[in-house]
Amino acid sequence: MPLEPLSPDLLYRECDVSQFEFETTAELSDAKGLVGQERALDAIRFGTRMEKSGYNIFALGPHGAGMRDGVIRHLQSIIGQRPVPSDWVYVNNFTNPNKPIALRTTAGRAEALRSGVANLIQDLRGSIPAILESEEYKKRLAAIDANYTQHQGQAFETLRLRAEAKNITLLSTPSGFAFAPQREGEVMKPETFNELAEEEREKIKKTVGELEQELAAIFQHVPGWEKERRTQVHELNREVATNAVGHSIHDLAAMFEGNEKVAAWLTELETDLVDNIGFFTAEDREQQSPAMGPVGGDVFRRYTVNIIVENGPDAAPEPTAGNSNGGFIGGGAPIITEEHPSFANLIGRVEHMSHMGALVTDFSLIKAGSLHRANGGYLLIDALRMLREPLAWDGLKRALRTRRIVLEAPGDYLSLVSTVALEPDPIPLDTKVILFGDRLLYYMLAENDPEFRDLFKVSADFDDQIDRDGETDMLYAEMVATLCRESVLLPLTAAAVGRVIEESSRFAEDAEKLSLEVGSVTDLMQEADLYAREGAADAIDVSHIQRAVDERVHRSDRLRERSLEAITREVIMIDTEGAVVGQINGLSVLSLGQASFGRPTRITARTRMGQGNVVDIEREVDLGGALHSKGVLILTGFLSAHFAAAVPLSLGATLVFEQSYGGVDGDSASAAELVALISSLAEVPINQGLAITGSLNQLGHIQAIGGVNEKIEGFFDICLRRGLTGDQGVVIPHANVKHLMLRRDVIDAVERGVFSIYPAETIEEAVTLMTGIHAGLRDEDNEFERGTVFQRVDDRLAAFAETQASFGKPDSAEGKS
Amino acid sequence: MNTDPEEKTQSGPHKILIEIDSAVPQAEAISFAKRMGAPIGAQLVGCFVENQALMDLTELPFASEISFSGIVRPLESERLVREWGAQAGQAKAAFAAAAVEMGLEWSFDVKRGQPLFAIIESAVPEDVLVMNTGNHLTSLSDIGRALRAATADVHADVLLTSARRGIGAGDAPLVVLDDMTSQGEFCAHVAEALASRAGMTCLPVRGADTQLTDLAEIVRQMGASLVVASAQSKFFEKDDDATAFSMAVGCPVLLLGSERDITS
Repeated sequence: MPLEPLSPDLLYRECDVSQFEFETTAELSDAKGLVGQERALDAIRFGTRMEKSGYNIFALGPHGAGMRDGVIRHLQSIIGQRPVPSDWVYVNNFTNPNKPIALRTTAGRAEALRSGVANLIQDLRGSIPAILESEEYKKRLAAIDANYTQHQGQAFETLRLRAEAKNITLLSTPSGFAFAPQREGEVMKPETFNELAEEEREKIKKTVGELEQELAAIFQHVPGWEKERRTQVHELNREVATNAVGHSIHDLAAMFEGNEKVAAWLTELETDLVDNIGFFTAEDREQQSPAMGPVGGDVFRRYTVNIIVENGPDAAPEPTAGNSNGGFIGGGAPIITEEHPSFANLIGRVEHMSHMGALVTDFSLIKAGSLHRANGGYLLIDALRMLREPLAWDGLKRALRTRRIVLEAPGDYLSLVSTVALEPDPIPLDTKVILFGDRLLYYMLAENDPEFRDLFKVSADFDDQIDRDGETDMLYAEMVATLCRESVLLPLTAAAVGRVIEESSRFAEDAEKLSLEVGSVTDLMQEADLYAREGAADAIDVSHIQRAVDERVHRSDRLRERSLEAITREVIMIDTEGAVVGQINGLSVLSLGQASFGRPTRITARTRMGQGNVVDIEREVDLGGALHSKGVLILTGFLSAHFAAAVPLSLGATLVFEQSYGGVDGDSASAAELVALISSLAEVPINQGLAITGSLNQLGHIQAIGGVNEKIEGFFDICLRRGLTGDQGVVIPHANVKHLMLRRDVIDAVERGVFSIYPAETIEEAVTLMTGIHAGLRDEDNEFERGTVFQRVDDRLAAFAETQASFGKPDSAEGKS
Repeated sequence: MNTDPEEKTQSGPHKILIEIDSAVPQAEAISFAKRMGAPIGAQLVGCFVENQALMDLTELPFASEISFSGIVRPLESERLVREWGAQAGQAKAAFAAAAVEMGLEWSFDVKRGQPLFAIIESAVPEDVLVMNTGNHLTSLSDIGRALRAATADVHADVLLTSARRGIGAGDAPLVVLDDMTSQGEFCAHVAEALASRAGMTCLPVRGADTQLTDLAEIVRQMGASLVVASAQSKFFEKDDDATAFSMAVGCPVLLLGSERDITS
C-alpha cells in the first residue's frame, strides 16, 4: 500500500475556543496551584509537613517551569499555621569575649532587650559619675587612702623613731633609703665614726644592719598593703555600683522572666558593670590604652546587644546584597529566598574593623546569614548558583546535618588560618531548605554525593508538559489569567488564550501536550501586551499573540536566513528536484542561542564489494557522535539481516553528510542513510523533491525523532524559495504525527496540494515512496518479488558475495573491521 | 625693710623657691606659683638638693641602700652622684615645662647640703620658700627649725605643702588666721590681696585662744584650699605647731615672715 500524505487537519491542532465561557481572562479567577504539577505539589506538601530531619526538598524541573512561584504560593498558604520563630541576639561573653553568647527571645522581644540594656547603660552613665563625685563616696575613698597612707607611714615612722632612739637616722636616696649614724641630731661624719672605739663601730654597724633588714621587710609588705587598699576600693565600688545597677537590672530581668539564659546573662552583665565601674568615669576611660582598648574605641560597646534575627510584626524586610527577595512574607514562619547563596550569605559572617593598623572584631560585628533569618521557616535556594560558590554547599550540608548554625570564616573552615577568631555560640537550626535545579543537576547530586540523599529526601519533580484536553485547556486558561495579573498585563481574549494554548503545544513539540514552562508563555504574553498597548487595545487578542510569535522568530532568524541563502545560492548543494542514485535529503535541527531551525543536509552513500563494512565517514574523522554511530551500526545490522542472509555480506559502503564540518550526532538520520544505501545498492535513484527524517531499528521500523516541526519547515522553506513544484514533501516517522504543530504557510501549502507530509512506519514504505518503485516483500520462497528495489539489492549483494568468493581471500584494502 | 602690707602685697614675692626632692615637682607648689605668682610675674626658682649627709654616709664601710623593692645593696658615691644627676635632669625638665606653661621666668639650681635648709641660703625677704611636709622622713622638728630659720631669720614667707593636689579647686576659699594682733591684721590684708589676685574668696578665722586642733577642724570644714597665717602667730606656740596644723588641715599653709614687731 503506497503511503498516503497526511491531511491538513493532522498537521496542527487548533484550540476550540468555543469551549471557553469567558470573553477575557479578566473574568477568570486565579489558578489553584500550579497547573499539571500535582505530583510535585504533593511532594512539597509532604515535605513541608514532615518535621523529621533530612526531609528538605529538591524541586527539579525545566527552567521556566514556575517552580519557585509555585512553591512560594504553597508556603504562603501554610506559614500562618506555623508559630512565629524566636528572635536571636548575640551578646558579649564577659568571661571569654572570644565566645559570644547567643540568646533567644520570643518573637519581637529582641528589641526590648537591646533597648533595655542600652537605656540601662545610658542611665548609669549619668548616675554612677554623680555617685562617684558625691561627698559620701569621696569621703569613704579618702578614708581608704588615708588608712593606706597611715599604715605605710606608720610603719616608716615607727622604724624611724626606733632608729632615732638608737641614734640612727633614715635618709632618702634616689632609689630607696639608707640608715646613717648620727650624733647630737646631726649625721655622723666619716672621720668622727672612724674615731670611735672598735666595739662602738661594730655595734653601730650591727644596729644599722638590723634596721636595714626591718626596712626591707616593710617594703616587702607594701605590695600587700597596696593590694589590700585596692581590694577595699574595689569593694567600695562594688557596693556603690551594686546599688546603682541592681535596681535597673532587676527591672530588666523582670521583663524576661522565664528566660533562664537571658537572666543568667543579665547577672553576668551586672557583675561586669560592677567590676568595671571605672568605665563610667572619664578619667579611667582616657587611661585605657588605645592599642589594648575596645573595638571602635567605645568601652560601652561590650554592653550592646547585637540583634541578628528579628521576627516581630514590626520587623522590616532586611535588604542584603543579592537578596532582593529577602524578608518576611506575612506573619508566621519566614520565607527567605537567597539570591546569592555564598558561604557567608548562608551561614553568616563575622565582620572586622581596622583599628590601629590591625583587623579587629567582636560580637557586635556578627552578621546573620539566610539560615538565621529562615530559622523556623523556609529557605529557597537555586542549587546551581549555590554549587558555584566555594564552600557554600558544604556549609549548608553541615548546618542541616548538625541542625546548628556555626559561624565560621572560610579561612577557619578550611583551617587555613590559625589566628584567634570569634567562636560564637551555635544557634539551633530548624528550617526547611528548598533547592531548585534542573533534572541533570539533581541526578548528578543524587549519584555522586551520598549526603545529598540523606538531607534532601523529598524530590518535587515538576513536569514540563501536561496532556492537552478540554479540561486542561480551561486550567491553562486560568493559569494564563494568573500570569497576566502577576505580570500586570492586559487581559487576553478567549481567542488569544486559544492561540497561546496552540503555541504552548508548539513549545512542547507535541500537539497532544501543553508546555508547563511558564517562563516562555509569560515572555510571549509580555511581548503581545506591548503590541496591544501600543495599539491602544483593551485586551490582548490573537493578532497580538501572533505578532509576538512572528517577531520573536524574526529577531533570531539571521542564521536561518543565511542557511537558506547558502542553499539557494547553491553554496550548499541541496537538490529539491530530480532523482539521484545514492543521494538523499536528510534533515537536522540547528540550535544556537534563541535560534532553532531545521535544514536539509545531503547524505550520500557509495557501495562496492567489500568485507561487510559500512564506513561512517563522520565517525572516521571524529565528527560523528556516539548516537550517530549507533544509528549507522543499526542500519548495518538491518542490511546484513535483511539481505543476502545466506551469504557473507560482501559489501563495502561509505556514508557521509556532505558539506557538514561541524559534527553530527543523534540517530534521526539513520532512516535516510539506509534509503541512500539501498538506492546505491539497487542503483535506483531517489526523488530529490522529498526529504526524510526518522530513526531506524534493526527490524526496519522507523522510530520517532525530535524537532519534527522544524525539520519539515526547514525543507519546506527551501522548496518555497525555489518555487514549489507540487510534488515535494517530507517523510516523517508515523509516531511523530502527534507532534505536529506546523506553521500556517506549510499547512496552506498542504491544503493546496503543493506540499505533502508522509508518515512512514517501515523502511519499506519510505523506500517505495522515495524511489517510486515498490520496495518488495519476501515471498514463500523467501525471495523478494521481481523488479522490486529489495530484489535488486539482494541480487547485488549476492553478486558481491560470489565475486568475493571467486577471489578466494578477503580484500586487504578493506580488511579493517 | 618695707613692712607696709599694701606695698608687700603690691610688690608680692619676687621669687618662689621650690625645693625639689624627686623628679616630680610638687603639684601644690606649681599651682601656688600659677595662681599667686603668675599675675605679678614672680620668678620661679627650682632647687634640687643633694643631701650632704648621704654623701658622707657613702664613706662609711657598711653604708647600704634599701631599694623600694626591699633589696639591700652597698651605697656607692659614684652611683649616688649619677642617680642624683639623672633625677635633677628630669626635675629640671619638668620644672621648666611647668614654668614655660605659666609664662614665668625660671631658674634651676643644684645644691649639695641639708634638705629644707639649702634653699634658705638663697632666700631673701619677700621670697616664698616652698617646703614639703609630706616626706615621712622629715621630722616635724626639722621642718619646724627650717620654718623658724626661714621666717624669723630671713623673714621670707614659707608655703608648707603636703599633698600632690593643686590649690583652689573652683570656689574653695582662701582662709586667713587672725589672732587679733597686729600681725594677724597684717596677714588679713595680705590674704585679701592674694585672694583678689587669684580670684578667690577670702574668709577670716578670728580667735586668740582657739586650740590648734579646733582651729584645724574649723578650717577643714570651711573647705579651704589655702590658709594664710603669720609664722609668729599666737596659734603656733611651738616650732612643730605650724607643720602639724598644715598636715591637719589638708591644704597648703602660707606662713608670712615679717620683721615688724608683733606686739601691738
